[in-house]
Amino acid sequence: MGVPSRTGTLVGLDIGRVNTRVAVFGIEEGKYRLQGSQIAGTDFGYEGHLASGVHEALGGLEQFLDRKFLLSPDQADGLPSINHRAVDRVGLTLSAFPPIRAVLFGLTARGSLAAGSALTGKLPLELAGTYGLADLADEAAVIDQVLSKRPHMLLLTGGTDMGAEESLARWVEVACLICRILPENVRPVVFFAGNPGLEDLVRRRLEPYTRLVVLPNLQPACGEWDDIPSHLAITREVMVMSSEKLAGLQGLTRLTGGLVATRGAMLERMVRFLCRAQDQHLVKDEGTGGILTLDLGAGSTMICAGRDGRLAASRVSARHEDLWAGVDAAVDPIHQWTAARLSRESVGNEFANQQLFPGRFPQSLTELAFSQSLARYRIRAGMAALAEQADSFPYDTAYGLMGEYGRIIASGAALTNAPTPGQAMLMLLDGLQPWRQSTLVLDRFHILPLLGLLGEVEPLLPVHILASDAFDNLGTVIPVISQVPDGVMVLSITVNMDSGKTYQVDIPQGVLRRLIAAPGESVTLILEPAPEADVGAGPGVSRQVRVTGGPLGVVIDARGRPLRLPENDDERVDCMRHWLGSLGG
Amino acid sequence: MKNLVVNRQSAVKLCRVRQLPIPGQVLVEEGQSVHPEDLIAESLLSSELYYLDIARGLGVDPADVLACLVRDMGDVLEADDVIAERDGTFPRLVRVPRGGRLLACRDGVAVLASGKLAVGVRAAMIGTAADVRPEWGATITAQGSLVQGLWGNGRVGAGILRVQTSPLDQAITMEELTSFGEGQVIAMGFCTEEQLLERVLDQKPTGLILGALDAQRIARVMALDIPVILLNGFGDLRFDPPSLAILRQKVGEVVCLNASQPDPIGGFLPEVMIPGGKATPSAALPYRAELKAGQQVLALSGAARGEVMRVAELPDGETTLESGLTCKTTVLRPAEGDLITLPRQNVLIVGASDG
Repeated sequence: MGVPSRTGTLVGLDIGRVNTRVAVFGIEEGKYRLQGSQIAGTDFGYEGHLASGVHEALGGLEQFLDRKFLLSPDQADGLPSINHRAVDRVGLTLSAFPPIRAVLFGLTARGSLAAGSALTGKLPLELAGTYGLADLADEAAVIDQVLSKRPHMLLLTGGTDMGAEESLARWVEVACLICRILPENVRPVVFFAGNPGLEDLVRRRLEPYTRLVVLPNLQPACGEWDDIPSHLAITREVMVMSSEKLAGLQGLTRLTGGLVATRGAMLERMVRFLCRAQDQHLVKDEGTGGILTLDLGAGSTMICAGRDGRLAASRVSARHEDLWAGVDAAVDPIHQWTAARLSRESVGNEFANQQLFPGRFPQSLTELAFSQSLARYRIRAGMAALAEQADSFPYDTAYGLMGEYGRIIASGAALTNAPTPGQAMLMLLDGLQPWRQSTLVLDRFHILPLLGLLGEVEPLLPVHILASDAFDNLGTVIPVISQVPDGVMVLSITVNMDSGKTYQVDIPQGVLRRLIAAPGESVTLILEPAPEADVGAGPGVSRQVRVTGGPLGVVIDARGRPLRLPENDDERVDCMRHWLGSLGG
Repeated sequence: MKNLVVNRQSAVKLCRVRQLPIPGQVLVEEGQSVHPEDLIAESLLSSELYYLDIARGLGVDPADVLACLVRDMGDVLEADDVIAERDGTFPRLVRVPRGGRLLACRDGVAVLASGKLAVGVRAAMIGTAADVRPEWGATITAQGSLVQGLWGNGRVGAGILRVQTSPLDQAITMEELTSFGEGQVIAMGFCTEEQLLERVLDQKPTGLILGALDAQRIARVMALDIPVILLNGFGDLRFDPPSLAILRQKVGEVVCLNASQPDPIGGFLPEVMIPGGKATPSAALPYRAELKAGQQVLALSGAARGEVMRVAELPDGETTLESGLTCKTTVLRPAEGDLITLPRQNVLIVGASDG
């Protein structure tokens, strides 16, 4: 690990739909450390000012650290003024956006439309329409539909390099007509990310009418996608559009010297970084494959998955997608996972009220149970949406996460505010249903995206912070996959502790069992599954793993896949409470 | 942190901006009286496009078509108008099969729009147009009572107000509903059962004001073409006393319902506006405000959910809740019973006439 090139302090601002978080990183004993973190409400939306939450949180940190980050807190534009003697650099990640609608024009469902949908799925956009080759049969209908949706952005894609010129040229004409029909000041920005052979035509036809951004082809060759340049360009536009609608964002952007990004983009960057680090430095055994990050924000659910040194899939599911249309469909899955005696109707009403006020705090135990079942539902819905978007993402709605992700890093108030580590762990296990060994890590201060952003100016920062105790290692989970009846022994474990102590545990089907391993303590487990049980090496195949303990030690999840809960409300609640009890309550 | 405000005031001065999302034409003049359904401004976009192959019709090369057009881009043509012609030994012409605006001509093909897609903004209240902003809209001013809600189904309307007289913790009776007659705005306690909602709708109301609705009825209510406003949210919640007091005073008067969906970016809440009244109006509270002792608030959680109480205290430190979570709280004084502690995020400020 290197030595910091700078001597100062870095401040990260993370503005979400409900909460604004500020984190201060400084150098202690030659290494960057998280020195403090503070949270305040986001003053979002009408008559709001994003700087006020920043101001409040930074003010709190000043008191906590007894340092002066703000020079004159009451500037005319409502912005705190940073004391540059105390702070080297400030960076801002944002996950609170106004609704921005996009329409996608492409050609084939499995080609350019899939690439375009995957790209828009990574961005905080409402995809208001997707049109392919078949829709060109009735261009007039497409134009009418698009006009009624009044998109802020059009994304034109299709044709590999040198391919499908004629069809794509027709979409260019459609986009041109849409822009000509709309008054000048409300015309959508057009992003062209198709066959570069059409660039001259695209410029000639569209530049006179609207702002055009020409990007590298999303699908330069069949089956090959390259969306990083498009992602960056559209993200920039999203930030510009957001600045126009969210008071304070422009000033904060100035304050950071332009070091701003979306939270989703920075999570992706960190997944790439972690995957590369894993690929280059770690021995690739069964416990280290793949990284998954999960952020349950009040405004959106973000999931990024990476393996083999690169980002494999990512998705932002924004809250405004089908806000009210989705209430009915959500009730049963939420009710089914509520560890409180709430009727189906009550769950529906709670969910609808939560849509109205996403920042409500669970006050009673019943409200907490509801919020935790909602978290499980959101994890599942986000994972399902990602699987739909990316064929290679190994998640099945019924069965769970079948691929191997050695580290799962989670954030979001429902998880990080959970009163006990067991509650956070159980939400993750029930929502994800992992099939392979994984270490669950909680980003309690929501700093992972900030590390991605501030790493731009100080590359050692993420390296040092990830190696520090700023993240909570909840524990390692080892799922046992077996279809035998409950109660039948499926696994025998020999636990060898570094202290020399050894003990043996037998695990029956249907249980969740916690093996004690103190935080930071490494233990070696010899896993000997029954012939019909699989612990990651195949049915009946033994393996030895070495894991580091967390607050929950090592968790053996032999509840089966898919997880099944009793239909009866009382039995279901008892079952969920029993599981929670197994994890320490 | 600021909290959202719901105004429930018996006499208030109201200004509401009604603006198009895309520029168009303003249809009102300053000082003009407006009604809820009146269009304040409208933008007409070309739609229903059709294509006319001029090159084929004239028998010329597509590259020569522009020279043969006899109408300019943007011209509005009637059915059978000539759009292009070719001189020569055998002159030919092309007529448009139906009326429309000439939008473009490319590769020998003309594009015409035969329809108009209207995008309008309505007054959604009774008032007077002021501050006309050309091409975009106007501000509507009014004076009267204002009751803001938490959810609406996106519709706008008006009618004569009828308020449930039987106890609001009981479902409205058929007898009472029938006594209201058709074509009224009905204010009633709650609507949890499907049958009750259908019975109410059988009375053909022009609007509904409910204390609360069961979330299972959302799809049905969204599909209605009359405005529906929920004052306190979803579930088994009642009408709050400030709203009830205002509405009961106004029975028999014309009420305007703007049941727009709550929009945190635009700063909209659905609202009931009752024009007129002789009381001296006060200014409505802003969209959000700082929580202060003495204010009335609407509880969003706990056993007192849906109740309006007064802030007794705002403790400095954080409090651990029954859920095990810790946060800043507010201590509230209900009309009856012991003080109640709620997270500060879980209350809305009620901008009521009496504070």
